[in-house]
Amino acid sequence: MPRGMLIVAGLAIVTFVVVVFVSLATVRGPRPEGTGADAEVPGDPDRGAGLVASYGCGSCHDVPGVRGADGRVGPPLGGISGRHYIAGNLPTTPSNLARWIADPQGVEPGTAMPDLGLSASEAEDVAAYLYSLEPR
Amino acid sequence: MRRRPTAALVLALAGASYAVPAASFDGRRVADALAPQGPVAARIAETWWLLFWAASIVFVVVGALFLVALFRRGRAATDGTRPSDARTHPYLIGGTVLTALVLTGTAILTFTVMRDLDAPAAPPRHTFEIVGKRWWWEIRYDGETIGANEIHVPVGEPVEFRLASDNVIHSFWVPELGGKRDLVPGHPLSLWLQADEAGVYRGVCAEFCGLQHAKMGFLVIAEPPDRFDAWLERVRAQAEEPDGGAAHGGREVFMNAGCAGCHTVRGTEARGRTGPDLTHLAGRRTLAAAQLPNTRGHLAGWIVDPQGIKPGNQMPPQDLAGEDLQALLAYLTGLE
Repeated sequence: MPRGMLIVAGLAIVTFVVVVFVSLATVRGPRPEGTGADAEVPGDPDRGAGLVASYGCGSCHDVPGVRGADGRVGPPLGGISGRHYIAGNLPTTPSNLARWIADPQGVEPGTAMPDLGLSASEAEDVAAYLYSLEPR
Repeated sequence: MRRRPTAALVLALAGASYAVPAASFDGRRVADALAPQGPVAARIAETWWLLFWAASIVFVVVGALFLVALFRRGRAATDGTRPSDARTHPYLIGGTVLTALVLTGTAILTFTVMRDLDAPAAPPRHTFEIVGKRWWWEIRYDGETIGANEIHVPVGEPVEFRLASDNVIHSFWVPELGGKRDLVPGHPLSLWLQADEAGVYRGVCAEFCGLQHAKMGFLVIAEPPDRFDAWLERVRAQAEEPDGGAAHGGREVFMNAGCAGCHTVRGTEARGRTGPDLTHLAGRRTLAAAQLPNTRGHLAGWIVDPQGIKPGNQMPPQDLAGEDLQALLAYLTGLE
């Protein structure tokens, strides 16, 4: 084979391999219904981000986009909308997430997450913020 | 000849470096020493501005002379001789005399200000003893510990602070109210401050003291004298009985899970001295030496994983069962 064709063939193979690897690494199967950007999520995500900071969620959780929110006590909350369960128990939907945030002790008595005192509408705003994060 | 552009570039960079702090200013002013809220800080800020303008004038004059010397098209001596002494003498003598005058003047100014600020016009009615710890501030009044990290002062009156340390050197600094004074082990020192306006003033540790030096903050809360008196009476008192079953259970957790080994709650068996006095924890605005707002969520995260928030500090992680954590929170949030 002439040298020029060898080079082109080599580049083509390398490109193909890279594309395959990248796709395998990033593609996911179908997500739970009503999750990610398609979900109908009530609440104000901007207000929610502020509430995450003021209620101290970041002392226990890693929350992307909120300064200083890098806690290791509970699970990281980035991408939570892409996961199937909240707290190992509740299917992930916007309303279940808000319900959990507003009353974790009611949903699962004795869990480590305290009742933080959020109102129902504040919990909705926080859920909206969490849903605005890239699902993983 | 080749050195001229380099020298000019260096001078330009030095001047341009003023832009760096200016560019990083995001408009928030916290603990701003140039926004004094009391007589001590006001005098210090005034002195600072005097020195700033003096230094700036010197910088401009010297810089200008330097540029002139650099770029002047003089007759270059080709026979290896230097300019005659008669031409350089005036500059040498003048420069030396002027420098000596400026420095003497600023020295006199500095000592005058230090002398004037040494003691307040009237003796302070209240004295707090502050002991620097790693990495928080123990607050004592009249020989007993009353709390940590948050000090209230009456507006418009001088307050004395006796500063001590039982470990390394720290430094007590409330920029809006006054200057720094070190807490030196074995060498107690005194400082007086006065807040002329009610408000919450942030303090910091100003002497590197280890891993969490940057997170060793405190608050000085200035309030009207009657509210100050009420606060002082409240924090000098012992803890009240917990209210409700959950809080009672929480007190048990506090005693049994090891908290009492390091912390004191006056009026209970908890007499630990390693960590801050928690008798009136719920009355504070912040936690962890003014690093976190005092909310349930922040408190929970701090209790379970203090190393995540202030790595290297002396509080170990507490992996409590969920129920125990809730009971403990109920107890601690009731310690008004």
